[in-house]
Amino acid sequence: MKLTRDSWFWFAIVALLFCGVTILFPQIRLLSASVLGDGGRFAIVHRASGLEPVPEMSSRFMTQPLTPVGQYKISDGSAYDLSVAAEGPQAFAITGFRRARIVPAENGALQIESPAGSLNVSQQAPRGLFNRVAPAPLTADVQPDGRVLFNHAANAFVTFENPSLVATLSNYVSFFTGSETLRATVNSLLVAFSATALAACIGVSLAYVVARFRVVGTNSIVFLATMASVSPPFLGAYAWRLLLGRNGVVTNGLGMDFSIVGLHGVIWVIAWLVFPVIFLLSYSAFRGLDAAHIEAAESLGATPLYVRLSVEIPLAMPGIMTGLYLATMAALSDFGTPRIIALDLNVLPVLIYTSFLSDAGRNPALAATGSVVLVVISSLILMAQQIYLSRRGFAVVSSRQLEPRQLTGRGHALAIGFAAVVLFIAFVPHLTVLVTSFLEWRVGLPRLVLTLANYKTMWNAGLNSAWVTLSLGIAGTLIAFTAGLGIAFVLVRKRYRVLAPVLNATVMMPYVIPGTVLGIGLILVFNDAPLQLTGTWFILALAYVIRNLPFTVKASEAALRQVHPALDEAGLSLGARPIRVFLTITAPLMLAGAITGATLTFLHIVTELSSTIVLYRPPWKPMTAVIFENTLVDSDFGVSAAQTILLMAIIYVPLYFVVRYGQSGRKNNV
Amino acid sequence: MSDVSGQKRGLHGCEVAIANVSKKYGDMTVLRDITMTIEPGEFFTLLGPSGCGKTTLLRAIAGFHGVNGGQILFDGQNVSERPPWERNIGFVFQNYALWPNKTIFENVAYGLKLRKVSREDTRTRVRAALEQVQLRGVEDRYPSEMSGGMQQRIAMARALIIDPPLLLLDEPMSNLDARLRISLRQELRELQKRIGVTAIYVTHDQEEALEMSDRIAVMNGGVVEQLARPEDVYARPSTRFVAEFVGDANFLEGTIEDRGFTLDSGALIKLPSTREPGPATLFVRPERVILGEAGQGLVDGIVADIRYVGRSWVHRLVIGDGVSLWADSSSRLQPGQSVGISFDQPTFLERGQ
Amino acid sequence: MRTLGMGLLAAAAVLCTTTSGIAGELVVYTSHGETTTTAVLAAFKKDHPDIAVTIVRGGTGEVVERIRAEAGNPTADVLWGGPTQTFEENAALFQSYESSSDKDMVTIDPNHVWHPYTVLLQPVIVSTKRVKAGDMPKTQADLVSDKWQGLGSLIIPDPAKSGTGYTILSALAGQFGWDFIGKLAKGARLAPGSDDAFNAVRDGEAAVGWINEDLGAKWKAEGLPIDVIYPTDAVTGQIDAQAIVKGAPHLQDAKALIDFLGSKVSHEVVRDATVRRSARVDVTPPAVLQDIGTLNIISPVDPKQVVVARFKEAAGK
Repeated sequence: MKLTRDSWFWFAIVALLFCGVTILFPQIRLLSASVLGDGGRFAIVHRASGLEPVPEMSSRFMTQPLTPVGQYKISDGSAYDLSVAAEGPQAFAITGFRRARIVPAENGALQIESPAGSLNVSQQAPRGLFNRVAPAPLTADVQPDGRVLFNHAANAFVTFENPSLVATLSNYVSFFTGSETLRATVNSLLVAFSATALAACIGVSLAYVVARFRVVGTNSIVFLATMASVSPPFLGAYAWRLLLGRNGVVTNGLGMDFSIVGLHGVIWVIAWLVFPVIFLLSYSAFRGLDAAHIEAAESLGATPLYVRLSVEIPLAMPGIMTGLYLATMAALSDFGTPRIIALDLNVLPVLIYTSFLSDAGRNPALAATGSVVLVVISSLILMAQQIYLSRRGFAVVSSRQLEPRQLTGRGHALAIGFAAVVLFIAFVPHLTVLVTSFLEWRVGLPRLVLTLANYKTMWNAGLNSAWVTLSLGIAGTLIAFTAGLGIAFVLVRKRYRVLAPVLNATVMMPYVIPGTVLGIGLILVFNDAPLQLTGTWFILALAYVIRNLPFTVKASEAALRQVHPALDEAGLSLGARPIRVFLTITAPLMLAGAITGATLTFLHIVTELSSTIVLYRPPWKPMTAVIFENTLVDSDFGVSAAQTILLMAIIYVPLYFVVRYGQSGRKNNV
Repeated sequence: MSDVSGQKRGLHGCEVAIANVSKKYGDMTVLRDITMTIEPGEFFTLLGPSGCGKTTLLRAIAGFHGVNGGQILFDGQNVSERPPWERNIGFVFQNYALWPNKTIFENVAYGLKLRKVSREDTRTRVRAALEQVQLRGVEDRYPSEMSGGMQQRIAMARALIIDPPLLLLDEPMSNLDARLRISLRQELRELQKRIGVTAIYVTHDQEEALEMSDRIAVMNGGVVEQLARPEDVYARPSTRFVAEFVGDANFLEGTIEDRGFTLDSGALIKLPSTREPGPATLFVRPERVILGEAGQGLVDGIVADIRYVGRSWVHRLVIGDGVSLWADSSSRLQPGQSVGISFDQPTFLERGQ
Repeated sequence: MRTLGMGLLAAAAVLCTTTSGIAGELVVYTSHGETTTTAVLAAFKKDHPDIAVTIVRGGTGEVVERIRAEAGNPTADVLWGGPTQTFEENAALFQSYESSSDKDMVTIDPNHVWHPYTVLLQPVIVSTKRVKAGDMPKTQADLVSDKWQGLGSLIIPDPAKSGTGYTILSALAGQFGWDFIGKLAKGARLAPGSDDAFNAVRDGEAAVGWINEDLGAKWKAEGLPIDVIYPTDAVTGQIDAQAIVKGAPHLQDAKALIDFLGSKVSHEVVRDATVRRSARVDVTPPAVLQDIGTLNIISPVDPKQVVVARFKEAAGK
């Protein structure tokens, strides 16, 4: 059958184009922005004491004092070679422009056109608090002898800017030599690895205990862990600070001289945020171990402890490593927690966000550079994981389910106690928020007075953000789910030689792109014609779909692999066209597995913060953005707490139903 | 066309012509220039070991993949470019491929639903199709509740209900136990004869092929080694491969001379031959080796070991200097006994075939 | 299955259309806290019940940068809050409007871009949890001392992100010089925003800092463990203002808001709700604040870029 008649081929082409434009292209734009630098600028201030260069507002231009004092030579080593001298208390002249032409620009600024290029000139002057007089405007005139005479306000800073762009690696150089950026990078790595290590200790050990031993209430433990894994991200940060900050409820109550504010606090909070993911993946890895492997080791004389270390944990590594990777990625790209817990801790996502905003309109060089660095770091971590996994074989030949072992009464009590402590700590933020949403708040502290005022305020303010969150959640999930089904089908069944691997790589890219970076990339591409999507509902939906495609595709892929191709072929042989076969035969069989991908997507979208913060514009403001902003700027957390509870209801109610359906639904084995 | 009784459909099977078909996967050639014609209503078997290309050919006829060269024609019409859903064939898969999340009724009715058959007609036809394969009252059950044999019948019913002129079967019995296989063989053959559909059957089991087929194509390494009626393939294999594959075989290497057939080891078999003198391989099936008094046969041998296989005793005889020969006998001889060996209808094959 | 999918799609479509109805509101970007905005907007709603207002909150630096990022296609109508210097440095982002109340203010923008709101001073705030009564600083110069370090340090709002931080540092640098700033910065902590800095002293995470006088007075009245001290050598101050964003989608409504914000009514609401000095000449300041005549008020001199860069350098970062 010819390739062009194959409707799946056209679907794959369309999918690839869509992914290329929305995923690949923005990253390329970011990369190109990171290797562009601006043409430079210089500034001089003319105070009563005389003319002075302002190195803080200059780049690429060198200033040298000349004799007599008060004159300076300014050049950028290529196009401009100028000298400047004062000509009066509010005037100076520049020599060195050949055939200059003055063009007025917006807001009192000027442009100097000369054979060397174009310079934007503007002034800033201080004006005392109660001054009612406007500062003198900036003017420039070309004198007969070729000098340009500038008249300006008193004590003005006059800036000359070269707006052209040049290709350069200087952004990277200043990134890795600048102390602020370097510190941010180090902090990010430190937080990511320490938090993951701590979370791994908790998550893997709890998973092992619950998976390999008969523990009462295992299903509830797993369900609670699933619930804990989908909390709104910065929830923990604020709650822990409320409890254990220097002025916190617990610290005050116990009179402790301790504060959770600081690097240690960030690591603690993030560890508890990501441990559920590690727990869940390790748990299913341990449950999936083949009994025969363990029995083989035992028959060779290995004690249970030895078997544990030498056989069980290594064999469960793929699941554990995936959990560790997801945890590290979450810690690395966490935007909200560091902002809230540690005042002066600089991490990469925050750095990228703030520098993007301050450079917007010009060249987002620092933001782009930071983004590239962050993506490279996460890609390296992913590669490390893949290399570790690929060198060893993990295929299981025949799979006999492992029977959990019995525990002694004491052991059982210890296990339950361990699980209870872990889960309690994991849910401390939720409980704190629940309680404080019913408390009265004044001047930033809760009072022990129960009230429904917070909920009333939230209700009166309108639930627009809840609608925004829900509409984005539902629409985003539907789109990502269907796209995931189709793409998974192309990847698993249709092994197009070139198209399939390229599509696979592109679709998986968002896996390594932190939310902040994704958002900025989208803004760069969709800020202008032909497709101006910034500030709309659509760009948020787009970002959410992209971020979750890897999950829906992978979930559908796994489900599809369970469906033998003969089942499709039977339909084809009976006369059904491929799309019909997909809809009536393949998709229904994939449904159960694909639904997990869809559920995860909905939960991710509803709790997403890092891309949301970059991309949202009123009126499309999702709940996470509302809560986050109020938490930062406002001191009265009461209403934010109420909103957080509402958000948690949106998350946990559907989650409960899906888990129930999954446990009791029809299980169809192929 | 919608003869509801299902018994005597009078359906005419189509003729399938394979003309110079070849198929490559990368550098590997899986089918080499295959040409054959399958008659309407014929039960035609593709027999061969795994990897010989028989399944590839079957799937190419079904349209599940294309061919690199040659054509496939149904009743003279070239269908090589047509996708599977336009070829109007019935396909029975090795693992039945019944959809586990649909009832038996929904499985069997799928093809009719596609063709927009009315609800009552569908009900009636499904019931008739299941009766045709000796199943009743299972419409509302699920495939996982049925045994292997029943699933195979349901797969047949699903394929046949759309009245295809061609039925393709890909080793449908290989997942069943031996007893079931034997009884189902006959059922299948009778059903096919009754309906009159052309059937192309793929298997590696030579017993099955010999029992069920009108004609057999023995395939090896992508080519057809022999295409003939079962008795011809068995008794008069054209190559050594066919001879070995289709049953047990004895091969004795030697030279044809005027006085008889001299084995390479030196022993002489007093066997006249019309063939040209020269090197040849003597081929004879164990059941055609006759054991008698020493000195009374074409050559003498000594019984080395004996195996019991229920139906007969299989004796390994040694002729002269270490050449082994297997013979079936209904009575058990003694190890070390000297016997006279004769052959019934031996054949000579080319040396080195 | 199919019906479920259709149902969900329909629900999503309905949600989309209902939420699109929101796009007709006045969008205000502000760095003011909820206490200020709730009170004032409630009064505004009484006057203009047909105008619905959406607030986007953030530090001064952040909201200005948001406006700059949106420059080609603005969503914001009004920027409410921020020192006048911010509006002058970013004049390209705002548009001029001659409001009737402009002439009633203690100061005026000849270009009618920014409209004054309050006069905000930044006295020093001290945590009584960390600092003993006898050790309180009395002047700006007192803030330069090693003794704060053991008690939680001096906390300085980052001038890059906070308008208040910029005001304080620029004014102090203009008055005492950049060496003074260097000495201040040694051992001091940096907060990403003014609210973070204020809260840090309130919570006892930091020992001393500066605070907007309205918040300081309110906290003191609530009995929080802090003390507010007006340094005798100099007090930094800024004029807080608002302006209409250039290209505002809802220009008429924006003008209405600006007029309202400048009215006597709104200023009295603000004074009472937030304990701030109004910029209007005819509104008396809150009784609890120190008389402005007794203070030496200094204001920013160097522009933001210089302050940010020089501060970074001075702090040795």
